[in-house]
Amino acid sequence: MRLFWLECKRMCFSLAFLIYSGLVCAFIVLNVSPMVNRSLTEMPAPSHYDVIYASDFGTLKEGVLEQLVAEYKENSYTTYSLGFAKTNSLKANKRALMQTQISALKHSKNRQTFNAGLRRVDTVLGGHSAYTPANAVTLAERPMTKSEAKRDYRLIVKRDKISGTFARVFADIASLIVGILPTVIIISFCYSDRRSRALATIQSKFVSSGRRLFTQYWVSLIVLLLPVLAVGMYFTLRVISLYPNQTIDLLAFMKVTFVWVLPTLMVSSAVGFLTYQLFGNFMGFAFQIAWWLVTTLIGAQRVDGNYGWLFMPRHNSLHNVTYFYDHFAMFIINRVSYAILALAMVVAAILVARVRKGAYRNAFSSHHQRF
Amino acid sequence: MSSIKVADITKVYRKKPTPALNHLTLEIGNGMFGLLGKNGAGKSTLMKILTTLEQPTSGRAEICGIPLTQPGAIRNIIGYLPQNFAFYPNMKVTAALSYLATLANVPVREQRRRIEQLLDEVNLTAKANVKIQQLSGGMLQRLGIAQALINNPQLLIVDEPTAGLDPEERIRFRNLLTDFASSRTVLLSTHIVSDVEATTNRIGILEHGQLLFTGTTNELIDAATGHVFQALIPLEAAAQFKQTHQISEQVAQADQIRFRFIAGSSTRSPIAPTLEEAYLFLQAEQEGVLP
Repeated sequence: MRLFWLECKRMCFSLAFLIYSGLVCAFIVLNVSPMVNRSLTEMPAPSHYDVIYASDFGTLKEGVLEQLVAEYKENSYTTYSLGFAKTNSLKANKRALMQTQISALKHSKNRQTFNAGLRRVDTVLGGHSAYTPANAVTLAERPMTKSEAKRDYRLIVKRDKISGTFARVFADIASLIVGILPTVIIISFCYSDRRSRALATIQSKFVSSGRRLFTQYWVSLIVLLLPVLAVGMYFTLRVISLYPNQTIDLLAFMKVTFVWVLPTLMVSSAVGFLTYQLFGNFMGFAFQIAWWLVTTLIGAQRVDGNYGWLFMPRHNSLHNVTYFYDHFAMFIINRVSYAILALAMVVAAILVARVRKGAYRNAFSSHHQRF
Repeated sequence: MSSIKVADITKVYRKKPTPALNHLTLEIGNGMFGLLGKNGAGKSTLMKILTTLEQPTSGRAEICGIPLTQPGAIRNIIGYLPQNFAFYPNMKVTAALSYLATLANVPVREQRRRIEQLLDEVNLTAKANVKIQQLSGGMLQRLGIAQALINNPQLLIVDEPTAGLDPEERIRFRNLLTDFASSRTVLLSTHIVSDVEATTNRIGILEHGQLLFTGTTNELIDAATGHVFQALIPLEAAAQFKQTHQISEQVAQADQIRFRFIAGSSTRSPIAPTLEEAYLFLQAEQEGVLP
């Protein structure tokens, strides 16, 4: 426990942490404040109903065919390999094939045959298109009906208790910054042992490298979450002051910080520890930038409710609340999975550290017998 | 009982054609032991193996009866001052010792008393709340010795501790080491002969990863007796004299230079060798370059 506090102190008083805290607070406050200033106490007017992705087959079929036919006429299709948008055109033989598939989609009677047709369209386009069954739902966009808007509003007031709605946007924004910055902070933290020539002294002490690394990992989770918690508290007070006559969920920002943001932090921090053990330099940050960029681009295809296997789940909307609660189980599976992945990476980092020190060779070597 | 037993240890680094340690066997008892050798002789490699920072390619070793296969147990009974000791520059002296005491498994309730006592012993009490980056080279080395003693070790291993220190700090540091050696085993690794001469009479000499000599300083000097000579040479002949002799010392005296040199034999009368000359004699004899 003493080591835990000493590592906390060491990390908290580092320049890297101060810069990190400033960047995290500024990024979240600047991006979330405009949203918090919007009023959620009244039902919006019909002209301001939020746009949602319809789940009914008719709307889906209409939306997909509308876009596909337009792209066919232009012979210009957009695909999203690793989240990067790319425009493709088809040669004559594939255009003919696409025409056949469009015709088949028009005559689809149910979702099953429609989805099969979508998969064929995606194959013709070489994959990663907007027409996979999973991606195609984004083409079924339409404004909410009055009853849907009412349900959304009820969920905001009764279930989210207003602060929960803002907290989702807060978590969405916080995840974006926490998904990348901790990696470089951790690598810098680990590198300080070598930079200050402290490594040999530390490694000659009783506490093993593995135990120290594990302690530092837990410390990083708490310390690097502090700025997010602080901003969360600030927004809780802000919401209380903006809605004095409403029942507010006082813990909403704390809940999303631990359930939504923490698993992302666990991963980005673990990447720092693991890659530093593997490479001993800042190469891990390049890896994390690539992962972050791909996730951000994939997530950007649908920012108002996009969970799946995204490392940083997206919900950059004060509405679409029904979608969130309908997909809550999926969201939790996502978060738990990333938390497990992070712990696995930390265990891997400890094993790499032990292997580097020859621990296993030492344990199993036949040369090392007693006198 | 020997504090350190090393048997047939070899260490080969990847991409290095010759082994850093080559079938090294050595036994060290209680008290201070000086390990002499040129840079690259394998001293630091041996220190790292004994402190479990590195693993030997083959061979075995024990420290106070504990084999290298139990690194945790070994680290619990040793103190280590690495070559070029440094620590987090922004950390204060007391905070650094507290951090390292925690890593060394020193109980929290004992840490404060132990740190105060060590700071007093190394004369750093006045610098307790100073940042490490503000310490002089000598103070940093004294902090290094304090951290190495934080767990009250049975064996203290110090690697090139006086490199970079001014003469006053070097003497102060040697005295400190001698004081500590009265109650524990100290293994001092250095390439500076005078460090060993001033602190112990038990030495080992390492060359190309192998042990050239182990014994007392008197035994080493005895081996060189009859092989050190002195000559007064005119200035104009000095350059040629230096080319044909292995010089251990030269002192300018008006229009002459007084040379001390090492040779297998000479027409001149031999003089009493110093420890440094005995060390040079041993190396020259080993390399077959003795005139």
